[in-house]
Amino acid sequence: MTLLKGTVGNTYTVKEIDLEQITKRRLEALGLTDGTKVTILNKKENGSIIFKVRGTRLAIGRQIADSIALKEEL
Amino acid sequence: MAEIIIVVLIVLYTGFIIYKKAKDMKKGKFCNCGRDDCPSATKCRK
Amino acid sequence: MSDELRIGFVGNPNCGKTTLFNAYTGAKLKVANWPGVTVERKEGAARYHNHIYKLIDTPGIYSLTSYSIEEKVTRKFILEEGVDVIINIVDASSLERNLYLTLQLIELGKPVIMALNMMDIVEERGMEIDLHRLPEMLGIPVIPVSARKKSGLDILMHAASHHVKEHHKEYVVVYNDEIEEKINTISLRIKEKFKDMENVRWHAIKFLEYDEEVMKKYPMDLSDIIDRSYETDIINQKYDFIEEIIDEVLVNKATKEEKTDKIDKILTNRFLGIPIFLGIMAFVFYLTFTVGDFLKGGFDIALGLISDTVSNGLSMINASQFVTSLIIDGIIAGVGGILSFLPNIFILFLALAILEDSGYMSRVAYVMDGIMGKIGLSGKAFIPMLLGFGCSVPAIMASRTLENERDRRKTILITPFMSCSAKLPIYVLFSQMFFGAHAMMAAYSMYLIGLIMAIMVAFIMSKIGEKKENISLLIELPEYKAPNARSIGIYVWEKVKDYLIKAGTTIFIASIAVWFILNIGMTGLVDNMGDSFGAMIGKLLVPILKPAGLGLWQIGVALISGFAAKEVVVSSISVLYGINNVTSISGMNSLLELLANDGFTALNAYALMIFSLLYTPCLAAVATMKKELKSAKWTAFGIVFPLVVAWLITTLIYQIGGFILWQK
Repeated sequence: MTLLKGTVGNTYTVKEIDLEQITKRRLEALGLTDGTKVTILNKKENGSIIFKVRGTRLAIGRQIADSIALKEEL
Repeated sequence: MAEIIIVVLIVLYTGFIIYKKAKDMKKGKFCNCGRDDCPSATKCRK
Repeated sequence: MSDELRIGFVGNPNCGKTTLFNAYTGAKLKVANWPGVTVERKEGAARYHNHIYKLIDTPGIYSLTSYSIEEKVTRKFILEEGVDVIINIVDASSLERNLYLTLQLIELGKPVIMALNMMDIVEERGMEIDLHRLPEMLGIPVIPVSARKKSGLDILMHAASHHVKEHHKEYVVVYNDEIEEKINTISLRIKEKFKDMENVRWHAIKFLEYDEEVMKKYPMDLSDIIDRSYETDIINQKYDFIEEIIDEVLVNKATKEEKTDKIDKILTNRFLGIPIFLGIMAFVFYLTFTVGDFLKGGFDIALGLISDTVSNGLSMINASQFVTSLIIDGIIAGVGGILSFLPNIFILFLALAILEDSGYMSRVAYVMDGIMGKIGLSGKAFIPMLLGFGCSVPAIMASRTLENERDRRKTILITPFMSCSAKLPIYVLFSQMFFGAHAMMAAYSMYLIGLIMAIMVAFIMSKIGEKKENISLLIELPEYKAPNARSIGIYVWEKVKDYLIKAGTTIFIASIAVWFILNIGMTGLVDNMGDSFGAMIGKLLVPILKPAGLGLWQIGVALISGFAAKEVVVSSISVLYGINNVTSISGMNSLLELLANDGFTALNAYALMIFSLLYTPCLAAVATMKKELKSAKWTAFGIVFPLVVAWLITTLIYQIGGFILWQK
């Protein structure tokens, strides 16, 4: 299950990120690594998402959201 | 007499501006929003 | 005597680095480029206790990899340019994320001090940071500061000057045994081959990460030790350490919903987001027109006085008609007319500055991401477009934040359709003259039409172009903050200064040039402007412009002159019709009469406004386009395309408008 399918207000744990190197590194520099917890703050119809990771607020588009795989939990 | 001085001043000033603009153009500084260096977006808007 | 300490400012974007830097250097800074690249570099000087410190600001970066220009430039600066001490500005309210860069900086081996900024926000939220444990765990001094409140600045500088000689441990992060072993082995090999290298440990780590730059610079065969890239391991272990630090150092992590999130719930609401944005823009323009106009009254009076004084002065010295006309009808009419729009420009930039400084701009990228997606761009492309409301030049340059070349090109080509501030005088003048009570609507419609055109063109371009993977949006949304009066003040003052300088240079010259071609003809000095060279050129354009409702030679001349700067269109009109104070009531009435005599009605005025909105941008913008597009072909397109679009749309609107009015 990816971040794209997440629900607003929930917290998830990142399993892995399936993106090309440059974007992946950028996300990592922003704190998004395997095993990190993310909380979804906002979601739009087209798939854009605002989420919080390590105290940082990020807005991402649909493609990136769909490339962040989450650990199944709860 | 005064008139000639005025005209000369205008001509000199005009020449000066054209010279400066030409120099800026050559150096690649095209910021119409300012006369100092305009290297990147962040400067011009912040 | 080398009493001059070189201090580098390094930190994340949005951490208050610039505010802090400005607090030290004031307005005394020099802005240039980093050598060989078009990334900005700021240098300034500060004086404390009889020592001169040279402060160098670096671009905001999240990490020190070699993946982006900003990172490479900063890295190079630290390693090669002789920095005595690095001040790492950290946003205390985002401590966890900021520490990632801090660790990398410390690993570089140069003296580092942390300036813990925005402590006031931390307090507000009821968070607490252990200011003893943090420096202990990091091994570097940590100085709390507040750039806005200007507290802690002296202490920071003091600490920096004393920290220079310190060579603290490079071992801020201890990795797992496997990696540490490899680092040791690699370090030994490095020392054998490159005896003089400093920061050996850092380089060893870089090798393990398969860092391109380092591997290219120091070619070594380490394949027996390095079997794969350890980049991910190293990153994860750094974050493990960061989590340790946070656990020990951060007390009361804010659990209640922060103010920013509350505000975002409304501003980025999936239904309200866009309407709110449009509403805010409408409000901005409302202020620009009403408050601007209110302030303009004073300007008009002042201008009138100057004009009269000069006029009297000239007659007192018996100046010739030539010179008098040059000065009054050329220079004063042209430049004066423009100066009186300063209040409007001032308000516009003030509003944009507040939107930017508060942090709202990045939300706009998110809100518009949906629409941008439909036209083949990411929400991030909307920010340059929004900046285009100020000036196309920085807006075009802002497109650099877009990673995809095709998206950049598309954004650069549509940005000029966003009505820049230089076109504002044209709208204000003509809407007030011809639309009376609806003046503001008429002017605001220009901004809407510009936006719609930009979106439509982008949409068409995305349909024609090759189907390629869209780069998805990725942008940080900083905390909302009350706009800082000081930074905004500096910024708006810069803009006002720019405007005045532009008036005194470009517009000054353009006005003289226009005056010349309008007063010199085949027979030398002409009595009737209609016989001048300018008129001849204008008349050539009449047949082409007629269908668009702009079939007056004067309009043709005015539009051509707009190539120098869009404000010059108004200046030219002033010169063309001999109006000295074009924004005064009397000036506008005279102009209205003269235009009406030539059959120029409200519909023509609207056509003129639309044409001005859409046609080829000014020389500076074109030059910037050329620089950013790096292609003569595309630049030529950027010149011809708007011209064609302007003609088509204006003709369309004029003809249809005429048809509708005719029916009545």
